[in-house]
Amino acid sequence: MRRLLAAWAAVAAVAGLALAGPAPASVVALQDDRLPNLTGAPLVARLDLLASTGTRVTRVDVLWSRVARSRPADPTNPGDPAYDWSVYDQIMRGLAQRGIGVILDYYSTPAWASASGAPNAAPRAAEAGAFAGAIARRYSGTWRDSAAAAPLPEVRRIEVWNEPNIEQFWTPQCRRGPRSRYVPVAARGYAALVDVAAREIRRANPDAIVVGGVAGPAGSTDDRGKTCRTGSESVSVGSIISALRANAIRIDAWSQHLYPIGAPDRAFFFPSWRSLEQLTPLLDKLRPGMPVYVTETGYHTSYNRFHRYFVSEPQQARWLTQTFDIADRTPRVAVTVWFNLQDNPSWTGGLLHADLTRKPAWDTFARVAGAAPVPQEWLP
Amino acid sequence: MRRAALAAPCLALLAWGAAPAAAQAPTAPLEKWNEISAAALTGTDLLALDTETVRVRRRLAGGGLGPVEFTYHKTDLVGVGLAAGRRRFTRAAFDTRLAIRNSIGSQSGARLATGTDGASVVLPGAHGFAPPVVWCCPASGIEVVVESDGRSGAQRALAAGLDGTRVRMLMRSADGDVALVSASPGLLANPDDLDESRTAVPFAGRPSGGLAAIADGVVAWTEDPATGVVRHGAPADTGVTDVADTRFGGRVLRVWAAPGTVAALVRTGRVASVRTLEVASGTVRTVWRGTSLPRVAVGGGAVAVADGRRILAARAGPVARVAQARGPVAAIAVDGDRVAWFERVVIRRGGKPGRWTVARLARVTR
Repeated sequence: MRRLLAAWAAVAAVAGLALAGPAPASVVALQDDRLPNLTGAPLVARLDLLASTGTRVTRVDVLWSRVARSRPADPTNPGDPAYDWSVYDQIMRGLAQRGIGVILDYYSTPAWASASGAPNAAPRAAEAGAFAGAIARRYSGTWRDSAAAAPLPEVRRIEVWNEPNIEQFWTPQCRRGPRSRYVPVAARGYAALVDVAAREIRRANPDAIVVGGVAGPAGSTDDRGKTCRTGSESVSVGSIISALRANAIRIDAWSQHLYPIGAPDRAFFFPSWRSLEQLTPLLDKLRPGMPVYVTETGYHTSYNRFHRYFVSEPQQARWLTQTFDIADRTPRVAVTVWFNLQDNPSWTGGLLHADLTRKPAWDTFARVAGAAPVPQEWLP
Repeated sequence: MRRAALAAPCLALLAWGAAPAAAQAPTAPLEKWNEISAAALTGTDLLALDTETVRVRRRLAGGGLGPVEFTYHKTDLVGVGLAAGRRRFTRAAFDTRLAIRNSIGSQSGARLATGTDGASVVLPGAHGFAPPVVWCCPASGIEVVVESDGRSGAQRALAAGLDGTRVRMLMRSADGDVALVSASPGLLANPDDLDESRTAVPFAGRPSGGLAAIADGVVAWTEDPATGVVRHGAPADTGVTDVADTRFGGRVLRVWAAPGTVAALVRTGRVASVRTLEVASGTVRTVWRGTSLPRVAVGGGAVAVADGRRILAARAGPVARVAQARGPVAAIAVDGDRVAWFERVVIRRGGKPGRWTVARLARVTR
């Protein structure tokens, strides 16, 4: 009997079920992708705007190409003169002052770091991994940007890249191979990057949480990552997991972006909230019970070319509530980040219109964020 | 019996031209009997808007008592290449060039306009929301969203078309005023750039319902369908010039515009007729008359009509039969030399009957 109970406990733990009382609620978070485009007083105002939503956690995109306009001599050293962290230092200090915790992701290959010079060019693992180390060291909680200043805030959660399974962020996804067949290359390349980045991040801050995947809502190759039907196909989420597993690469959490077609509790096309059940067994093969970070989700309120599915503004508000409800009922999901604060012509999933007027979802988010507990470990 | 069972799938494959990929095909199929809201020929391609309300229903493992159900609405711009100078397609399959999806309301009645450079403009039907206007993409394959606004008081596009490289739109505001908005999405270096060339000027008219159309050098609309009068003029960034009224007679049910031509479907009593106006001369002609409401297309100086299963077309004067469809016609297009239509047929494949919408081509003979 005891053996049976032990077995059941193990199974339940693997399945992510909570045996000792209710599971911790998924942390409610909101991203503002305009932050890195501002400095000085406009940045301060923007940080106040973000804080006024009630969010206690946010996600910040670090653009590698902006921080490292030229090749650093010592790429893991955040003090290398080639690096310009000024915007990010302001952002991190500003968020910490407002009591907002941070998840960092980084992407955008500098021109010097690829043959094509394109920001979506697949990075070389050694260089992009070293940059992850520089980020982790700079925001390890001990780094001082000048002798007189207080140390910069610590950011523990670092996502390796953004949506490596989407051509907009990582190209090529597939490459022409022998006998004119296309073979997927993005998953293998990304796994190589995570391998280096995870090592460098942990070396810089042993307490850091390395978040891998950061997978976009796309990808259609087979999960073993053997073939691409065409040169323009994107690699699947499963093939990235397979590549990480094949190389025994250790990550602490998996990040998945969800943009469901349909209501959060009904949509089941992969990836969606309902299809997370398909994802978790794959993640368990990387590490049993690995937490899932939903670091982008949302609903657009008008058509745009990056996201061709939209809902009405009242629907967006209702489905925002459902999104965080379903996240709360999904024990594996540690955090859910609504993307984005404000609309722009390419992205209309904001709580605010482009002219900063509020959508109904603004009040809904404020209510949800206000009611959601945030564990201390997520706060600055 | 065995021979018949074998013959059916073979005939079916032949029927939709399932030839090797490199070969040209006489037909191109679309799965299902979706609404083909509109079709157009660009010279190099046959384009169509495939509109559907998708009802998703699936029983999920661990999903509780019943199946999961939800609905969304879509408009796909699909296209297939045309073999130069021939009544054949470059391949026997459409590819999807745009996909507009929402969970608000039906996109039924979507409209499609094409220009001289192969570009197209999609205006989905919009039940419960302001429709986006999307320009698509002759060379790059990259679309430009010309108009998209989800706010409750957003302007609604009543009509959109291509005037040279300029997209012209009639936009109605919440208070009923209409503006002529112009933009040049095809000239943007980056599809997300602000279009500095965009203009908006008051439009001296209040088109009724969707009874407005825009093409190269012409905008046509009716303000009161019951009068049978269609107004038309030449659109420009500064407004519409050379505005004139033409009496088409009867009640105006639809309006089309093509370079140099305005057409209307009108009904008088039980009789429906398609009438055309040659803008330069002011000549109005009745090109078709009947008792049912036909599918109509205008383009390249020709008019095409699908009257039941009869495909009729002409470059001048009354339309004449050029082909016979094998099923109900969902949409029709004409470019002056060729007429294309989408017919709904049942084809047995692997012994099972399936619903297909098949595109065919015929020559405009006179």
